[in-house]
Amino acid sequence: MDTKQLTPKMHGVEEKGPHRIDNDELYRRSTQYRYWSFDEEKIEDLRIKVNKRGQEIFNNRILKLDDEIIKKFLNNEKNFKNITVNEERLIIIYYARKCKDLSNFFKFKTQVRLTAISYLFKFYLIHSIMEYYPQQIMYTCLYLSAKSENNFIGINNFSKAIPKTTPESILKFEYLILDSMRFSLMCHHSIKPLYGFYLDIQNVLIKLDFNRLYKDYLLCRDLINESIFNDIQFLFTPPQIALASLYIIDDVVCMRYLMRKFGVKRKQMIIKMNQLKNNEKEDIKIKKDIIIKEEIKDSTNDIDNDDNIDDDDGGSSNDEKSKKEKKQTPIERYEKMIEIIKACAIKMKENINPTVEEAKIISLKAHFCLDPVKYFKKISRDVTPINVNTDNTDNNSVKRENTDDDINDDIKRIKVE
Amino acid sequence: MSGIKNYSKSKKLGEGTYAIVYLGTQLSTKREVAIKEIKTEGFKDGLDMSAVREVKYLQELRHQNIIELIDVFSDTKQNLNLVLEVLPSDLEKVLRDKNIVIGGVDVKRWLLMILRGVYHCHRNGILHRDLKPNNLLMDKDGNLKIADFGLARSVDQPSEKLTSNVVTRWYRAPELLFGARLYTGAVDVWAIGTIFAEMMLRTPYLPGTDDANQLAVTIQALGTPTEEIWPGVSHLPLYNNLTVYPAPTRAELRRRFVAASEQALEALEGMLIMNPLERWTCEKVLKSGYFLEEPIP
Repeated sequence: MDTKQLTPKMHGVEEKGPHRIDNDELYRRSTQYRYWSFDEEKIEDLRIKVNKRGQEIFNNRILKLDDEIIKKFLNNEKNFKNITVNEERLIIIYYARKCKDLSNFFKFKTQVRLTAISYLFKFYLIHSIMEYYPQQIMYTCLYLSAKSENNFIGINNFSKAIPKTTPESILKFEYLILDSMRFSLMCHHSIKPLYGFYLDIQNVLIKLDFNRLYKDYLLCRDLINESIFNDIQFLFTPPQIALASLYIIDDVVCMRYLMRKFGVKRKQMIIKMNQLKNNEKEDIKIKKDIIIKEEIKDSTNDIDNDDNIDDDDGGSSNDEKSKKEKKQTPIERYEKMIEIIKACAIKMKENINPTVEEAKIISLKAHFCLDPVKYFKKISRDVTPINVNTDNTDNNSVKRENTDDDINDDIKRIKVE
Repeated sequence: MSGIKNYSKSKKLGEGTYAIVYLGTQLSTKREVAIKEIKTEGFKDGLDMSAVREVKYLQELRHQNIIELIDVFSDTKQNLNLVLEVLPSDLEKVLRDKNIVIGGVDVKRWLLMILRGVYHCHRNGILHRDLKPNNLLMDKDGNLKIADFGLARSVDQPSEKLTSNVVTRWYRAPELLFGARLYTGAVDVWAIGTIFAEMMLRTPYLPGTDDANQLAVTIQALGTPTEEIWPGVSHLPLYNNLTVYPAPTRAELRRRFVAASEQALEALEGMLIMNPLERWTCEKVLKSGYFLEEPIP
């Protein structure tokens, strides 16, 4: 479809008439791209900043305390270590997983769950858990997401189902979350492009066994649903994530499909697929290990070096020639795409699942940071000092504490249901 | 997003169920703006769904034929404020104002602008679901912009069930009148078709008095859909005991739309095809002969 066809010529009426926007450009206009796409360093940066600010807020809270006893008490707390960037991330992931359970409990559609978790992660790129505790924020994210994704539920019914909440306690964060997200509510998830690819592959790879494709599709869905807890939503576009899932589940189908789409010549395709076969044994090993920090460059080099088929070297030498040319050849475009997908696949496999114990410890520290006075009052009734740090898991002292019984509430409720 | 300090509200322009619209100024640029203050009082479930939708979709849609959302801020009372471009008129006002002479080129130009705006929505996977003349706002230069996304929604999955209770009655597509729960952007195209007719007639084309009457008026004007032209239609929830009217012939349409060219009638018919799967898309109308023949807008 080109511009001229689509929009008839304007004779002076609209000089600055619209030009055809391609699909990439369309995505670049989305808030997901404009506000929420980063590289890894940038995310790390944001989290460090957020953590620092959280730390400052906490320090100010401490400074404001004028009660001598509290100060004395705090002086005794030599074991208290600041909440780290990683701990913040862990507890957010912990509650993101809780969010998933809660969403399932309400029987919300997939979209609601995915969006809520996305909101939660976005919120904590702006705020620290030392400012707002993720449990409450998570509830509000889920409530807001249900609205945003057209799965509305009244606040009374919503709150009733969640222990220790009131409609007010949930609604009071609605504005804060909206504001923190700069009022960008739209989330593009990779489930949708995955479905698109699933349909398109049926058209492109006609000979492909449908049962295999359908099975792949279901496995990809599961994989995508599980990979929302890492940072890929900020690092890659939804179609990239969808393709990466397919690459993990069935690399042969993924590669064949992409080669066809990019118009890679049949001869080159056969060479590539043969290379893959030769590398299969190698691949199985890699898959078993799931090497997270596998270097992309190395793996692609391996494929090139292990090139045992000496039919003709046409493919690779052609590649090198055309690299000098400005316009990329189909095989170059294909390889660039595969490189991105591989990088995404590596990130996708990053599976972080904090244990309840880990969460409890961080939760304890967070509650201390959020409200030292309240925490102190509680603790002074108890003899246990705050001896909390993640390296030294002192379960007994933690268990005597009640600050984080909310964590257990959720678990109880979900078990009951 | 900047704060309230950058804006001043002067006079109240209007009030709807969930918002009050003020005329205001963006202080940093001295630009005149419309500020839509979303009411929060009386909404026990927090921010109203219409407001959620409006913010959500307008944030994503940047197009010359869609109202521009300049900024969003929350004021001291925690009210949500949408800062929008000022659009003093709307298509309904223009069509009703008998002092305004509307020529064939105006109609074509407006239709073109509506189609472009809606096409942009559809490309973004967003259905407007409430297209009607008073949601089509106009700036001083007569540029038409689509507004009011309070009923809009995105189509996530083709199998997802939606409510058929959308679109102001006179502009409601037959699949909605029959209570279909699965529908597409074709509902917006139908609405554009009826608006196109209204622009030519300067009076609503299918003014039903209630939901049942709307269906009667629609099939009287455009024929009763049968299984033959629309497979599956008889299984839709509200399809029963219909009087069978024939579809209008081209000659009949010609008599009704006196000034319309053959190409215009073809586009009109394309947008008002009963079967939503057969109905033209925005793209097809944009590419149709109507926009290639004189007068070129």
